[in-house]
This record gives sequence, C-alpha cells and structure tokens, in this order.
Amino acid sequence: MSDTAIEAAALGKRYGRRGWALRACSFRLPAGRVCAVVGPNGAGKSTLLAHAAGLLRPTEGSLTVLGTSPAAARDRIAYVAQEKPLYPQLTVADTLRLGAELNPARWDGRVADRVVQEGGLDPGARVRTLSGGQRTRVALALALGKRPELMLLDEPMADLDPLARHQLMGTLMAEAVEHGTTVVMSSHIIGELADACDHLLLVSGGRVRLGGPIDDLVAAHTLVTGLAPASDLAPHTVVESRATGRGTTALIRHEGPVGDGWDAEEPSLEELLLAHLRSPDAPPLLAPDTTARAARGVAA
Amino acid sequence: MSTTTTSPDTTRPAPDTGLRGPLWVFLRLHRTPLLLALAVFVLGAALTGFLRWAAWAYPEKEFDCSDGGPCSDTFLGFHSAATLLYEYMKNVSLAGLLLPVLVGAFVAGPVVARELESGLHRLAWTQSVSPARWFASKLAVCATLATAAALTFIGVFQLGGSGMPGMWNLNWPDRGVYEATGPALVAYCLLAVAVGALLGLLVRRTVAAMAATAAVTGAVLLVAGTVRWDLVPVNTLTGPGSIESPHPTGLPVDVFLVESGLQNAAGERFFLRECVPEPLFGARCPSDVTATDWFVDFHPHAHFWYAQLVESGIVLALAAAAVYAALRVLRRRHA
Amino acid sequence: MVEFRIDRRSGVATYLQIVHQTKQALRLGLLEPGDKLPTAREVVEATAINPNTVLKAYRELEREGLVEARRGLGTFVRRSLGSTPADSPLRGELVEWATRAREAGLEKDDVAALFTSVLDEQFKGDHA
Repeated sequence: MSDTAIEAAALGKRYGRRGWALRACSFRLPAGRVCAVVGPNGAGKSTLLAHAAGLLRPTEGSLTVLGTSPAAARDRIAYVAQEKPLYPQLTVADTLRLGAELNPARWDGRVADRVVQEGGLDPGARVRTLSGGQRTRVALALALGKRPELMLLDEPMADLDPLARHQLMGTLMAEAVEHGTTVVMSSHIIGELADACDHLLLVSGGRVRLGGPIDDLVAAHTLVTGLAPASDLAPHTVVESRATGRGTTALIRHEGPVGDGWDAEEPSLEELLLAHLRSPDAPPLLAPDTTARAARGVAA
Repeated sequence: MSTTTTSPDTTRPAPDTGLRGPLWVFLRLHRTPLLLALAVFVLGAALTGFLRWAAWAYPEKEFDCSDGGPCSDTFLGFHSAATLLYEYMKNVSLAGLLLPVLVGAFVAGPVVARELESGLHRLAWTQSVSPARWFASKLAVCATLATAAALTFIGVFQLGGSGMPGMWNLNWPDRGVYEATGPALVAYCLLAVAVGALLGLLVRRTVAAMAATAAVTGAVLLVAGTVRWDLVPVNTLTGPGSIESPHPTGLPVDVFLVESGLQNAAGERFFLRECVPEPLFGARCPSDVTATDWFVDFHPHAHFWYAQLVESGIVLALAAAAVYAALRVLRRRHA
Repeated sequence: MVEFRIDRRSGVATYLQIVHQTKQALRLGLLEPGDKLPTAREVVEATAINPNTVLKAYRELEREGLVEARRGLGTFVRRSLGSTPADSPLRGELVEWATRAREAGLEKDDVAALFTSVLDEQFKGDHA
C-alpha cells in the first residue's frame, strides 16, 4: 500500500475555449489523512477530484493515485460527484445491489445498509422520489459500501440537514479510523469541514495555494498588529496587510521571531483562508512532505 | 442506537435470476423498455399465429349471389381471413425495416447518451468496472438482444408469411420482405447497435443522439434497398415470345424481373410501344426495329442468398468500423 | 463510559476539549483506574470530528500518565486525578470563604475574578 494517496505533478486541465480550470498543480497528499479541498466556486476543486477519480485526462502534467494511475486504482477509489448522480429509475435497494454487482471484490453490504437505514430510507423507494439530502445519503452509502482506500467526495455535505450532516460525517470518520481510509472532501465553506479534517488544500484560480496539515499551516502564519508600516515586516512573507487606523494589521508567514512593536497572534483557520483568497498574488505554501516528489514517470 | 434490522439485507444478490455484474445492472436499468419490447414481440407473434390459423381455418367461401346477397363471406370486415393476413403481413414487413431504427435509437439514447447527458457516467465509471468494460458489456448485451430480436422477427415473419410469397405480392426481393427473410436483418440490427453507440458517445444528448442514429440507420436501409439489385449482375434470357406472353419462353417462375423487351438482329434492345409500332417522341430506338427475339433481365431466386450474404458482410464491416470508432472516442475522451 | 461534547464555538482546540473533559471525568470519579476510554471510532462516530484529533488527545493524556494504550484492547485509565470529593476539608473551607465573600457584598463575577487571579498567581509557571 502506497503512503501517498494523491500526488499531482504540474497538473493542468484546459476545457476548450473556457480556458484553464487547473494549472501547474503540484502537491502530495499522504495516505490516511482527512483532507479538505476548499476554495471559491469555480476554483477547480471539482476538476481536481474528477482527475483523481480517473474521469478526466490531464491536459498537461500527471496525477497518480495510491501509487498508480487513477484508472488502475479504480477499484480502490470511491467517488461521489457534486450532483450525486444516481439512476433515478432504481430503488434504493437496487442502487445498493448495483454497488454489489459492480464492485464484487470489495463490496460491504452491511455498511451501505446501515447508512441507508440510519436515514430512515425505505429500500423500496425509487431514487427519483428522494430529496436531495436522501440522495446524498444513498450516494455516500454506495461509496462507503465499496470499502475504498481513497474516498473523493465533491461537496458531500451541501444538501444535508445538520442532523444528517453530523451523522454521516461521524460514520465517515468512523470508517476512516477503522480502515485507514484517506478521505478528500471539497467545499466552498470550510466551517462544515474544519472539525473533521486534518489536512487542507486551498485551491483558487486553478492553483493550489496552500497544502498541508491544518495545524502546521496555521502555525506557520502569524496575525500581527503594529504601528509600523507593512514594509517593516521583512524578512517575513506578508500574505495580506491592511492599514488599520494609524497602524497595520497583517497576516505573515514568519521567518523567525516577529520583531518588537508587533502584537502577534495565531490566526484562525478561517482568517488564514480568507487572507489567501483576498490576496491571489501571495506565494503558495506547501508544508514539507506535501510537495510533489520528483515525477516518477507514471503515465497519466 | 436502535437500528432495527427488519428490512431484508438489500445487497445480497437475489438467487432467482443468476444474473451478475454489469449484465444484471444493464437489464435492471433498462427493465421497462426491454419488457415492453418483449411484450410487443409476444403479442405480435400471437397475433400472427392467430391470423395464420384463421386463414387456414376459415377458407374463402363462395356463395351464389345471383339473388343479390353477398358473393362471399367476410372475415372481420375483410374479404377473407387470408386477405386480412396479407394486409397484416404487408405492414409487418415494413415494421421489419423499423426494427433496426428502433434498436439504434434505443442504444444511442437511453443506453449511451443519457448516461453522459445526466452525468451518470460519473457513477458508473467510478465503480470497479472500467469505462471501456462497462461500455463493452452494454454493447455486448445490446448486440445479443438485437440479434435475438431480429431472429425472432424473422421467425414471426416466417410464421405468418411462409408459402405466401408470389401469390400475395409479398415477393422475395421486395423492400421489407427481403430484409425480414434473411440474415441482412440481423446485420442491420447490429449496425444499428454500433451506430447508436458511436453517435451516443459523440452527440451526448439523448434525443439528438436518438434522432441522429435513426436518421443514419434509416438512410443506410433506404440506400441499400435502392442500390441492392443494381449491384448484383442480372441474368439475361433471350428467345421467342409473344404479345400475350411478353417474355422469352423458359423463364423460371419466382424470379425478380428487372427489365424485358425486344431486340433486333444486332442485339440492340428496344421496347414495345416505345419504338414499335411507331417510335415515341424522345425515345431512343435503334434504327432497325425489327424484332428477332424477346429478352428479359432478371434475378433468379438464387440471387437472394448471394445478395443477403454480400450485403450482410458489408453491413457487418460497417458495424465493426463503428464499434472501433466508438471505442477510440471513449478512450480518447476519458482516461 | 464518558461522552465527549465538542463545542465548536469555544475557541479551545478540539483535542484540548477532550483532554479537559477526560480530566474532569477523572476528578468527578466518573472514570476510575482500569476504566476504558471510548475508542477513537466511537468518539468520531458520535462527534464527527477528525480521528487524529482524538488520537492526539489520548496521546496527551498518555503523556501525562493518566491513561495507557493497550495494544489491540483500547485505552485505559491508569490513575485518578487528585480528586476533591464533595466532603473534603478543602471544599468546606472554600464554601466558608465564598460565603464570607458574598456577605462582604461581592458579586458572583467579582468572586470568580478574584479566585482566578489567585489561581493564576499560585500556579504560575505550571503546565496548563
């Protein structure tokens, strides 16, 4: 089993005239993490997940999953697309049967049945009669039933009510801890994922802006307030600075201790993300061990 | 947690059918249209059988109608049960041409394009089955079902029409009858599956793909029906004939007459009423219009099998090309 | 069996909330030596937090010598915390002191602030 769940090397995807959805994406996601892929709408999150699921072919660069190509790892990956596609004419029970028939080597019907039952879903109900949240539940049941090594969930919580969200996230985490599953979830709201995730990829404008363990990323930044102008903050990397009254508030990546005259605080995760989204020119930061290793020539 | 496990274990494959994997999934996904098609076939076969039986059981009876009564019995409003069977078979033979069109539309739309249009391929292709295998298995099932449908149709047509040709203007080279009585129908159905798969992948819109496939399949059938007999060299018979029997004597029965007329001593052809007794304006006539012989160009019944096999071969080659193209498209667009 | 409540708005790191709640349970006698802590699976299933957060909290408790992980069995309480039973002399003295403070006209917040400042002064330099 590979220690790397996903590794992208200079990954780029262009959609015809619409231009680049992803460009020069390089990062490594170690196995066993619960990773949030966050970023504004249209940032390239879905494109990134679809590549990892083997549904898209990179325009340039490469992406490997579980140490091999996404196509070769297909049976070890579960993917739930944003629209939660399910065959509308099938019943809930038949949808799970479909999972069993198409994943004969790995299927675990108990997990899938439990997820569906916890939602009080009638196995005989047709998918087309289900609400958005119920469909999400069935889609997640299908993904969990596959017993994947890597789960790719595109906006999994968007349609769920708070109770279902808590319950399904709990189930997801329980499966993750029991089987060492790597979970990758995208969202444009970090709030709903912050407690569940230990790893972060911030994607915006088709690029990876931040990547690494959440604790490390937060610890690498400092929120400083002082009377001096932002230019006095060298040699630290200033991500974002604002004039506040007579002084300056800035989010920096500190290089060594912050000088006297600055009031330093650890930023919250939300502050960190917002500062990066407001400053598209800030240099990207990938925590050590999450940068792409030298391309190993795996055919994409 | 009070998870009552009253509902049956939903994911154990039911032991009844013995169907597994992509085959089960395909048949389950398309259960409704497939059952509908099956019902149509069963009904059609039953109706055909009944009419055939009626034509045998209720032969036409002649009455003495000199007193103003009907000269013959009627059967369900038709002149006789045999007439009804004939009218019915004429329509069935045309329905045979519709079969490849319907098969193609089904494959293009519900089977291939709808999945792409609605994003369901993201579900199907991220199970343990690769897109190529999923596609191939769907194609295989469709091809099997299409072959079965074509053979069933041919069987039903035999049930209703065997022994009728000739007598009832259901001649073996006629459009519809020709297709419904030989392997060409199977080939056309397979071509429809391949074209449907290719266009479904290319067009990616359910209705548009169905329309495009129906149009292409229909066009191929139309063109083939038009040029078919021009591509097979005709047999020619010359000899003496008469105005009453405008053919050379010795023409076998059950042939497809292409052209018949007169020829002069030099072997130049011309036609009765066109060149003799007086040449019509604009008609191309030889200078010598003294008839020495009658001629007839015709296809003997043996040409039926020749045409069927050649045509089936060409159509199957086209189908293979379409399948190859479809697999190329699938592979190029998706990892 | 303890149940952890995660307060997402407290601003306290999630793993510290688990550490604090475990210690509180030890102080109150809800957990005694030999008791088993819920498994990481049970905790994350109930709270929907990241598994590593639970493991980090348990490691912290282990580092402080309060619990021990037994391979394949789970995490068990090793010792209880300096418990202050309801009838301990210290508690009695505190009750007396609080009564006097109230009689002196102090509000509840004043008493709490006073108590915290003394606490901070006395335990300065100790690990949280």
